This record gives sequence, structure tokens and C-alpha cells, in this order.
Amino acid sequence: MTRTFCYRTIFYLIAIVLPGIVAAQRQTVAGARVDRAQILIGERIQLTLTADIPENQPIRFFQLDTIPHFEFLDLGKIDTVNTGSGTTLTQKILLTSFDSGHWVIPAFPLGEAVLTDSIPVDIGFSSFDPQQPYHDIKDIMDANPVEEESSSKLWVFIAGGVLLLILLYVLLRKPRKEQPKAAAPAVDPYRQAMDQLEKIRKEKLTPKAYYSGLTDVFRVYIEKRKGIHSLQQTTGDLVVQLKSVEMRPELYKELSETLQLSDFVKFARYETSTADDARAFETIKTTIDHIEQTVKTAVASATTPS
Amino acid sequence: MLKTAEDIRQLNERIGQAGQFTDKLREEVGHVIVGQSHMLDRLLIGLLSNGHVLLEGVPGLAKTLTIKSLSQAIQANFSRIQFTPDLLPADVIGTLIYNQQKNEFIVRKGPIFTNFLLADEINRAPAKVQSALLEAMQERQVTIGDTTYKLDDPFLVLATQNPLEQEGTYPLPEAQVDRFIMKVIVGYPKMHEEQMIIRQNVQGLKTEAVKPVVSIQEVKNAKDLTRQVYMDEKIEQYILDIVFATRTPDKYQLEKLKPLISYGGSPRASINLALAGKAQAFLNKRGFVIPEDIRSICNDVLRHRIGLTYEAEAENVKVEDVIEEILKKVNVP
Repeated sequence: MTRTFCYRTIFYLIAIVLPGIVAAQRQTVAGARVDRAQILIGERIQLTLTADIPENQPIRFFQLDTIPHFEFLDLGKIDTVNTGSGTTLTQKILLTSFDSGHWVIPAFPLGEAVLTDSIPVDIGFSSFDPQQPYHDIKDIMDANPVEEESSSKLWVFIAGGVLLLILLYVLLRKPRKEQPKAAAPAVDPYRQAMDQLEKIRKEKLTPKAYYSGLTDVFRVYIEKRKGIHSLQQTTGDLVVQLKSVEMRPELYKELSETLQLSDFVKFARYETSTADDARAFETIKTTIDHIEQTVKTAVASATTPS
Repeated sequence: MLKTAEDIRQLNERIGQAGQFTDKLREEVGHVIVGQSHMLDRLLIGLLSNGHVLLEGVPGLAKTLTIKSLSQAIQANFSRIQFTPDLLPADVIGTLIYNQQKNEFIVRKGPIFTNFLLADEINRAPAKVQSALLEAMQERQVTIGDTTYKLDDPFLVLATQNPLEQEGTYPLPEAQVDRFIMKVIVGYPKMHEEQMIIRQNVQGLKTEAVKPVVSIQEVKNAKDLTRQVYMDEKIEQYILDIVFATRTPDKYQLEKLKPLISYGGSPRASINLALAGKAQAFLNKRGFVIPEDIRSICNDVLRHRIGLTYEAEAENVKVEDVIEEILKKVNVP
């Protein structure tokens, strides 16, 4: 019982006192190391500086200016790591030297009391035997063609040649005559108009459809045969434009009256007699016949040698 | 609704007689106004089709005088409102005024209570005044206080816009411009007409006073007849083709117009083309509409209903050019 009590007391004392002792012993640690202790002139050497600063201590780091016999190539950024019990600062520095000999990277102070270790570094030449005779600088030598390379080049040449031949064939071959497309059978406007008129005559149409059909046949014919955009013109405009078409005055008058009568039938439900319908039909047909005849005569006179 | 050819024939006769009042009007107004027959015709179309007309032209083209003369020739009331930036809606439609003697509010009707209202330079008034007027134009009634008052019949608003001096103006929004049946561009008179104007004004030629030659009842009868004018479905289709070509020009082989038009005519464009077409037929003393009637009013009915793109403006394409292209392409029935 007594022994157990003693052990427990000792354990508690250690558990309470030891962290305090450890904490009291923690202090700033500075370190320096290099990746190589021996380099040739101009070779690089990496110097790593570390500072392990416990909590409650001011954060500070080494202030480097120059290192005798060494040149700075790159001053890396200071890396800060929180370790939980303090802060560790690390900096990696690339150095080189152009002075041969045995030199020492000095100890760097961190604050007033802490110093890194000094590090000796040997800077030397490459092995050189002065007993060897001197040799002149050699001329540029031709590289020996590798077997694989030459065969791949050969394939490239073959492929290029084939492509060239194809290109020449495409360029120099005779253009194939395009097969003439089967031309749509040209519909003669006159024939078309006559067919339409015949259709109108045979069908039993309402007066409106009858007169619309008649005027449409005429308008389409005159547009195709004379190039007059009659489908987009009002009757008034069309009648004015038809003055330019060669026509007997009586026929022109009859045609104008028929077109106007058609307007009455189409837009005012005008009721026509059978005689009116027959007269309108005949006028449209006669006009188309007349214009067709005029066109044919003009074409014939133009083609007949004088 | 007209059913038979006989109905149309009888209507033709009635319009032939009733339509003579337009000749009397033209003659009477012609005593004072030299030229401007196009503007007068468009005012008559507005009168017959119960629509309002927007006139655009530089100052000094006898816009006011024409409207005033027309109202005098019709024995109608005429009011003029000069639109200014400080105008209030109450200045147009009227307001309630407190009468101390009677200890009550009395209604003071505004100048809108008339037959012919000239809204001069409508784009100089702020939007709320324009809106009040345009609403009254549409509803044909005005509410002052708790009471709604019907406007006179005929009621025709003729609004003017000056294309110059656009700074500090309030251009009418498209939706409100759409309410005018027509937008008429008032042009300069011809040379011989202007010579007559010089003589009238400089050499002291006495201008005759306009005498009332037409009664309001005659105008009302004419409006009734205009409504009865026969419009065949082929004409309706023609109107629809024209309006739809403003919306989808590519479907009418007018692909080149597609990048030039930002928006086409609304259904109101179709309605107003039909109404104005009937009025045009009436003016021609006809009881039915023909494609010529529609074509002749197309520019005035459609020019304020088609929006052009910046591309069109850059290429100096006008609305009239677009309408002309459409008329050239749409088949006439």
C-alpha cells in the first residue's frame, strides 16, 4: 500500500513537473547544411538554413549579405511552418564559387546567442593530367547516318513522290465534260395559256373563279412573254403599261374593259351575262393570239437576212 | 353585311349621292387652301373611318389652316392645343374647379370636347399628357372626377409633329403612334401653287371666308355608309399579304428586306388598312374596295408602323422604300 502510494506520487510528480522542465529547456535552434561538401569551380551548391523558434519567442531569421569566396545564384523565399510548438523557418540558397580551394561557409548568427554551424566546402578543378600531350581542336565531323533514320527518310521521299504524282495527275488530266442535265422541257407561254383557257372553258366555274382565271392566264402570259410584271400590278397600272404593247386600239379598248369587268366581278360580286362571259373569254384569247403573232413576226423578221 | 351584287349596286348609288359632300368640302376648303389636296384627302379618310391622323411637316405648310377650314366647312367645333413641356393632362381633358358661391366642385371641360382637335406639336408635351390624349382618342370618352363624359361625334384628332428641332421633345412611343390611323407627311406646295399663295398673301387678294357647306349629320351618314363598303375576301387577303410581308419578308421573296426591318406592322395595321381602304373607296364614290384603294393609302397607313434597323438607317433606306418594295412583290388579286 505504502509502496503503491509512493509510486503513484512519483508518477504524478513526474507528469506535472516534466513538461515544465521540457518547456523550460526548449530554445531557438539554428541550423545550416549543404547538399554537397565538394564541388568543381562554377558548380552549384544548395545551402539550407533553418531556424526553429519556439512559442513565445520573437520570430527572426538570418540576415545574409555576402559569403566570402561564394556567389549567390538564387535566394529562395523563406518558408514558414507552424509546428504546433513553435515556428520553423527555412530558406534554400543556391551558391557557387569561382575560387578554388578549401573554404568555409561561416556560422550565421540568429539573434545574439544562436549561431549555425560553419560548413567547410572544397572547391576544386576537374582531374587534369599535365603529362598528357596537347591536342588541336578537331574539325566538325559528319554524323554517321543511322540506319533507321535513313530508312524513314526513304519512306518520306516515296510518300512525297506518290503525292506529287497524284497532284500532277489531278492538275493535268483533261476536265471531264459535264453531262448536260436533262433540261426541263421549256413550257411555251402561249401553249400554256391556251391550255389554261381551254381548261377554264370546260370547267363550270363560279363567275368570280371564271374571271379570276381569265385575268390570271393573261397576266401570267404577258409576264412570261413580254416581261411585264403584271402579277404585282393593279388593273389600272396594267392597263396603262399595256399601251406599250403593240395592239390594235379596238383590241386594247376591249381588253381594258374586260380587265375592269373582271375587277367588278372579283371585288363587287358583279353578275355577268353569258354573253359577257363569252366576250371576256374571246377578248383574252384574241389578245394572247395577237401578241403571240406579233412576237413571232418580230422574231422572224429579225432572223431573216436582209 | 352585303350579300348580293344588288346590295352592292344599291350601295354604290347611295355612296354616289352621299359622296358628293366631299366635293363640296374640297371646293369650299379650296377657296382658302391652295394645293395640299393629298393632306385634305387624308383628313377626310380619317373623318370617314373614325380614325385620327398624325401630320408631319415643317412649319408653314398650312396644316392648322387646313384643319380649321375643314371644321368650318363642316359646321363643327374646332379646338387647338399647343403642346408645350409644361402642359398638364387637366389642360387637355379638363378638371374639377371649386365654386365658392355654390360651395361645390364644378366640371371645367377641356379643349378635347370638340369635333376637330388640333394637337399642335404633340411631341413637345411630356408622356403623361400624350398618354391622356391618346387614351381619350382610343376610348372616345373622358373621366373627370367621378363622371365619365362621352366625346363628341365626330371626334377627329389631328396631331402635328415638326421633324425639325427635335431637341427637348418627347417622341411618341411606337405603341402610341400605332393608334393613329395614318401618318401623313405634308410636303411643300408645287411651284404654281406657291405662286398663288404669294399672291393671296402679298398682293392683298381677299381670301374668302369658309362657309359651312356640310352638316355634322351628313358626315355621320357618310361614316355609316363607309362602314358598309364591301370588301371582298381577296382584298382582305391582299391586305394580310402586305402586312405579313412587313413581318416576315423572307416568305415573300424579300430576303433583302429582312435585315432592314426591326418590327413589322401590328394587327392594327391590317385593321386600319381595311378601314382606310373603305374610306378611300367612298371618296372614289365606290361601294366596294379594289386593290388600287389599298395601294394608294399603304404608305400613310404603314409608315409609322414599321420599324427600321440601324442597318437601314446607315444605308439611308426609308420606310417608304421598304413599302414600295413590298408592293412590288406582293401579288395583286
